[in-house]
Amino acid sequence: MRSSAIIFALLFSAPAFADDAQTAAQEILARFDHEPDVRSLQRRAMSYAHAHPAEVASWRGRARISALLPQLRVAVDYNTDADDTRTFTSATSEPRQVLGNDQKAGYELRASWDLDEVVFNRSEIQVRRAVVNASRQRDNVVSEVTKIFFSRRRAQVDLLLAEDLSAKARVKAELRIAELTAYLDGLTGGWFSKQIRK
Amino acid sequence: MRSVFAPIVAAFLMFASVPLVASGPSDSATDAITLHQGIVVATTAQGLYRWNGTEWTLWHPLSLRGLSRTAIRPQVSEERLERVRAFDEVFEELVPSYGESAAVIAAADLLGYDRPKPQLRFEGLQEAAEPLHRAVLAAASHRGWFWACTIDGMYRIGATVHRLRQLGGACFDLVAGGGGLVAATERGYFKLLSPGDWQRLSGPLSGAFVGLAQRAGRVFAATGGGIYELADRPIRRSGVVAEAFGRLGEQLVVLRDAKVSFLDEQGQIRPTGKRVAGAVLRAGDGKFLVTTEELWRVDQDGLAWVPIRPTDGELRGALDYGGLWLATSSGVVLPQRLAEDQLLARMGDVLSPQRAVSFSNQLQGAMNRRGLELPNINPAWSRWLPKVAFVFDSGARRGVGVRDLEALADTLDIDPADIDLDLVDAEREWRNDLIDASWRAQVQLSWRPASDQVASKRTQIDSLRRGLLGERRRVSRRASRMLAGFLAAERRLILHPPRSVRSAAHRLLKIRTKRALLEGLLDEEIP
Repeated sequence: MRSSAIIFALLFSAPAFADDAQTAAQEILARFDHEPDVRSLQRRAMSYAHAHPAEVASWRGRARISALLPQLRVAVDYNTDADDTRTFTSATSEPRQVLGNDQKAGYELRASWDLDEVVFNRSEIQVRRAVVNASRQRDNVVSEVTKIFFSRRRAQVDLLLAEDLSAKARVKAELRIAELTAYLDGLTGGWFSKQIRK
Repeated sequence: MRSVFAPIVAAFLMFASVPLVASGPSDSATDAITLHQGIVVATTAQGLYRWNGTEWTLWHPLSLRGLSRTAIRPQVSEERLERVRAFDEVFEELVPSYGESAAVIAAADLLGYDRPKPQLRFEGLQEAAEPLHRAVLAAASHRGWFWACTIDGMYRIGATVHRLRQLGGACFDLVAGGGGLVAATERGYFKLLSPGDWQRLSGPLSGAFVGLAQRAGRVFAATGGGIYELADRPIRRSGVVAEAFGRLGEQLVVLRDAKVSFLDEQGQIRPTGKRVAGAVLRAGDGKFLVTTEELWRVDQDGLAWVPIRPTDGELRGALDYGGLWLATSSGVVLPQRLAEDQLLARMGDVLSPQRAVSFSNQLQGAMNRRGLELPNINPAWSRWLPKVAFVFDSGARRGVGVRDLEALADTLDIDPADIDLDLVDAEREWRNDLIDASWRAQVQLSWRPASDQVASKRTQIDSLRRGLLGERRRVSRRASRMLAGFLAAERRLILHPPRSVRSAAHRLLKIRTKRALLEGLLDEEIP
């Protein structure tokens, strides 16, 4: 009878098992909040690879503006000429001599627009082709850095939750984390480790 | 005081914990689902229910002793095992002459001790691996009877429920097939010869019990001491210590570290390369390998994962009979039950209209930020737009001393040859007037309305548009797949809650990964 009472006391006191597991898991994951979050990492990786959307927008803006800007030409000229004119009016008389010295200065300012480029801009066409490649590259970078980030986080959680881990296994686990950290540093130019150290 | 208080507390707790209204397999934990004489039978801790085509009806109630929410494991010590074996041997010798109950007393007199009771270790609530609250460990239909292997021993069910006390106080496993029925109990291993007549194949084997399997008329048992074939005597076929053991098809299945392997005729382990998720409940009842989260079966290609709809509770058993019936800790899942609308009703709004519109807007924004909006250029206009040039030029001419020396000589009344050069220079200054200055402004317009130019531009624009459309399609498809994956992972966490902290952490990380991939693609946070 007493053992039945114990059994039913255990039954009566059972917690909501699944909720506890999720709550505990949230608390464990919160221990890594001091590290950079994945969105910052993605932005950094995109900038490092020059695949950030802001760069693409910059190319396109510049290509568009180029059609509105004129081609300017400025020219300056200066010349001097001297002439000595002798006019013979007869075979015997002295020639009429006229000495002349001219100075000429001038400048030209030319501004020209190809108005057809406003409608169809060859530079913009080329830029937009490059945009397609940049878009793919950007997705590859973001996808790779995200997967590695969470692989690293999983390894950290596994190490944290591991019980009775041998020294060898622990070293192996920590090396794996270090490997993934180095991978992220490679994709961000060392930014990730610096952020962790802060 | 304690002797008065404990029964009162126990009675109170008993009433507090047992539901006032017994609910059937529709919504209460079901441990096994079996086909018996063409009728689907669900076995719960409270009783056996039969499906009548529209609902579950109670067939026989069960009153199992030792019902608890803890996992129960037989605790083994070699000395105790020896005492049990010795007692059983003497008991077997005396039963034909004395009968069962008298043989127990006579054996106790001869040996000087009572039959050792099974040491059952209550492990309490714990994380992960062990399934909780299973009262019925296996059920089978054989020779017209329904057999239930429970924590309270073996039961034979027909018109009445009969407890087979001679097989022991607790049953661990039961397998039927190949014309035989074999049970593993705390007293050992028994094979049914005819109803009421059991042959004891072996006493308890060394090590904790793991699993039982029957193949081609041969019986195998796995314990902590290895894998044995129960023939005339137990023959150790393999030293492998399995975590779960059973039969799938014609293969003996061994599980270690969630990895599935087959045991061949020579006792060698052949890995399948497959890994299961969740705690293994049944390594093989002939048809299915059941874990708390997954279902596997053997087909012509080997071990195959069976896709099942998400369930509210952990899996406990399966039956393939006009569809897949699943016994879970939240009740029986009927094959036709989880229709699309019911599944959606259970999951709630997977994607509300507002969220769908918001996602669509975010996707468009992402496309525009990437520069993927489609060009809207009509190159025909460019043909008529000229090149425009504004030209402004200005010039000045200074006539420096255009000197008429003769006129100068006339003015000075001297001979032109006598003109002093210094005077000429002075005269230059006098003559140093701006003689001529001019400027010009010009507008130049030039056209080249050649139609081949337009055609060439159109070709370039079309090529660009195709490239952009392809990239837009790729981004859209990727975003949609990522969104679906993210929502599915979220819903799965709700419908299929993790059982351990590690599993919960991994599932949460999986959701965060999918969310991060989607946010990275859209380059903004999603609600």
